Amino acid sequence: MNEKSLSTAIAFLSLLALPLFLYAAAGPYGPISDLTFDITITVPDEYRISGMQDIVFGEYSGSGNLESNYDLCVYTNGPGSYRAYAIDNSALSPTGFSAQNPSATADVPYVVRWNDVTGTSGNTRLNFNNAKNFTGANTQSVDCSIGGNTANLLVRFTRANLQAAPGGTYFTTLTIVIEP
Amino acid sequence: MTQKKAFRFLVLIFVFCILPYVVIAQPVTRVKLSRVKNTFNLGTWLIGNVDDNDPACAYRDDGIDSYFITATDDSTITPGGFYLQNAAATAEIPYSLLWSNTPAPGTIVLSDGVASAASGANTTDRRCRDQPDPNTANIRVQISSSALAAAPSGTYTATVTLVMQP
Repeated sequence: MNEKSLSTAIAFLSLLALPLFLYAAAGPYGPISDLTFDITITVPDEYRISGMQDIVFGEYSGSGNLESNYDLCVYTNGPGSYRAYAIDNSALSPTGFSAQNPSATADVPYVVRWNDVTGTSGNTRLNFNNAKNFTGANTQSVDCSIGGNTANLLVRFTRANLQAAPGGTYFTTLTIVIEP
Repeated sequence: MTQKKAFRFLVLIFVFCILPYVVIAQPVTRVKLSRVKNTFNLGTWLIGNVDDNDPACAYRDDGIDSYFITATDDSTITPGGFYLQNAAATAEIPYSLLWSNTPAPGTIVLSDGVASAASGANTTDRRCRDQPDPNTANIRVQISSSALAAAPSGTYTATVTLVMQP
């Protein structure tokens, strides 16, 4: 048998064997018949952030910083580490955090700080669209109902920036992204 | 030969020569389960419930199409139920197995280790080559999205054993 004939024979036999791989071995023919099959599924690393809140500072009194923070939930079904970054929709400062007035003629920069535990102690400043590594995500329940919140978000407008801004209402939508 | 001896002789003849054939001649119902695929490879879960199925052939040789089907799996963390486990056997995902009396996906919920009554077995061809559809049953696997969402990341498997009995 030459090499070509051998290859053809192997290919033919492989085709004959194909059903054996597609189907489980049939159970025996007898008083009982049994067979086995496998089930397999992969659950990928997943993340969820919840508990985000609107922050309304009200009218600035003219002195001091404006600052607000709250605890929130970061969950993962993985080991607990994650990366976080933040962006906002301000058009006047597309590469920095700022709240702007409705006519988009003025904006007020602000600072975003993230903590991978609750509270503000030890938190880290986030730069616009620049992910940083964190740990300590909740791995017990998607909504942190078990184990509690695991992070803290702080937003701060400094006195200098507020005092430098024209009078008006300033608004921004802040987006926090959690990723592997 | 007295009457008593003759009777004993006949009894012995019956016991050793006729009875074995009578016993051997008792028909034993035989069944055969086939055409289930080797693996339900459900891939990587992203969102939603998982629902997959595969037609199967259940054959019974005595002309009666009813039978019992029993499923068990090899999960070890929580005995008595159907669970997929990760390789380290530290996490599990519950799933459901459903049987059908037709090749279409069905709704007969199987319980781990419990025989469930089924019907519609093939009674004519043990090799299940009948056309247009040789299958007579269906095995279905369901996993809820909530169970998957609650599971640690990883790959989960189970080996299921199906047993068919008359």
